[in-house]
Amino acid sequence: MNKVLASAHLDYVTVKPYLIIRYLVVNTLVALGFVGFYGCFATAIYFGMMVATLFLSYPFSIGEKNNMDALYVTLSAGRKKVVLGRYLFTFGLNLFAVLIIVVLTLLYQVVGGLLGMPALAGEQSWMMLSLAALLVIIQALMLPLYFKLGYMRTRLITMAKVIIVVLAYLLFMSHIYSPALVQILSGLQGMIVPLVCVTALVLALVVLASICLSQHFYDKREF
Amino acid sequence: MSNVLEVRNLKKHYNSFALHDISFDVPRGYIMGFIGPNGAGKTTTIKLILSMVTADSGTVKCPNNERIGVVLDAPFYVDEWRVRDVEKALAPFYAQWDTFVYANYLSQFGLDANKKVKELSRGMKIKLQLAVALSHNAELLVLDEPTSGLDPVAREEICDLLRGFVSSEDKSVLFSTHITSDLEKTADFITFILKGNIVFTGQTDALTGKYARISGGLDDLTEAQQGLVIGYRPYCTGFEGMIELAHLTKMPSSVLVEEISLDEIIIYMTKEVGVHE
Amino acid sequence: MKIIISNRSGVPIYEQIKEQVKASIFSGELLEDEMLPSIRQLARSLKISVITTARAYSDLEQEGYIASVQGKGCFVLPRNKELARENAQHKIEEALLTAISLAKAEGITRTEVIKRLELLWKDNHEQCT
Repeated sequence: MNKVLASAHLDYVTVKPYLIIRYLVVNTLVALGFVGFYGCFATAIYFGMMVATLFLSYPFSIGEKNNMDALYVTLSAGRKKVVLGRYLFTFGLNLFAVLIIVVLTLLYQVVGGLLGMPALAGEQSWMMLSLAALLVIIQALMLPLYFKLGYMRTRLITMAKVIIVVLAYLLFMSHIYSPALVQILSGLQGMIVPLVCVTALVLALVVLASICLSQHFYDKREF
Repeated sequence: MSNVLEVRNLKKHYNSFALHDISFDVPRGYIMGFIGPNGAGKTTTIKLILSMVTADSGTVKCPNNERIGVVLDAPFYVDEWRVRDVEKALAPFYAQWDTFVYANYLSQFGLDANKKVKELSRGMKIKLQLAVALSHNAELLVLDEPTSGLDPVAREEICDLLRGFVSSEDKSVLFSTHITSDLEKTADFITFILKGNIVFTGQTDALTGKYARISGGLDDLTEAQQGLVIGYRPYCTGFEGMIELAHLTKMPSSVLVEEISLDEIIIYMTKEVGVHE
Repeated sequence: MKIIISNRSGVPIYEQIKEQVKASIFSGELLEDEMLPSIRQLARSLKISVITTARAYSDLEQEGYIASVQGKGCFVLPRNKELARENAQHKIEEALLTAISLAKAEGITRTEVIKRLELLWKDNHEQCT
């Protein structure tokens, strides 16, 4: 197996015994509740990624508890590939969380439709997607921190993470109560394609920079 | 004789401790014991070899990680893993992973594939690491204190395994320990580290054959003669210590000279260095 | 062939191996061209280091008892007749010297000793035939 894939797989096997179904279900239901509350489809993507962001620390915390940095060094992968594997794992985690919630949301809509509940609206999607993009940036900031400082020391900083997520949430709220923002956004509606392109490019650059930074930091760690 | 591992002039400074200038070779096909008291720098040297820490200067020439089997003092598998998860997690990293060999070692060691890592005793955890280290056709085993904290039966079992490992001529072992009885007969070579310095590296016989244990009455030796005794320890009715065989001719015939064990060499050497600092 | 290692005899391990291999050759238990256990195999069985075993074998090789064939192993060499004869003569001399010193100590004469020797020789010869 490719060493990067093997590293991502190792992360998965590491985290697996700690994924308690009950906890996952609760998280999913809460996210789903929010989706229903805001009545917006793209909310699913946002909340999926939010849950993924919360789980991001798992391979780091479990790894640190079990002295796994030593294990990674003894493996034939090399530190750079271990880092790449972790990013691949993070990507998979996001994809998985989003997929699950999107599928559940679709089900929710079908069932809701049968019960005569109002269908989810589509026009606020862009706002939610931009918040999802914000989450990508948060993740891209967190990973290098974990690689540099390890889990225990980063945990203090994760308080900051929580604050950022809350801020993102407040932003989301303010959007509901601020017609001005809606106006700006609807003004941008005409330029959706270039806007998406620019955002995607910026995100790609941020993630790339994050990977380079993580590799640089992790190379210098001593265990 | 070709070397499977070549360590040259490794230096590493910490606040309270330093490795000064570490150089030694592990020849292909043999077992090398890496000895020294606790805190002498054995683990740090091994971490440098495995590039877990970065050296200030110096070089290490060793096989690719894929061909090195590692057993560390502190186990590094996830507590919640079952024994069979270990294979699932690690096998993808090794092109030459052999499931059959791994299963064989598990049954030889009496390791239950369904047991969780956290349920294993220290000895069993070491054996689990050994099973992994031996299942991907490694040409070099690096073991850090694999026998510490184990009972004599388990220690013997591990030593026997290592002898079996080098019985094919292209495999080598570097084995750090402070339990020298494990090495006395088994190790072909010994590297002895003390306070971050290599004091000896070479054939085991050359070390045990270089020194002798010496003891006698308090007034047997002149002060000059006492200076030749390594780790000289006077007590109320006599003295004891270690001496280089080359200096034996300068000793009076009244002293008792005996064969010396690796343990005693470590003790007297450590004592000598302690006196000097 | 029997090789056992004593941990307390004070004799170096390689010396113990050497002596026991030689004894097996002299007793005829190890025959010409017979293969010895490989160095690594023997080291593992005796739980000793490879180098110790290798040293015993290389000593035996130097003394002309065995030969190592690259890639195949070690074999017992045909016994060198002259060497064996010399060895035997040496032992006889030693035994006779003991007899002489015993005789001298107890005042037994040379003729008496020779007579005894001839008598013993004859008895032994008759027993054998």
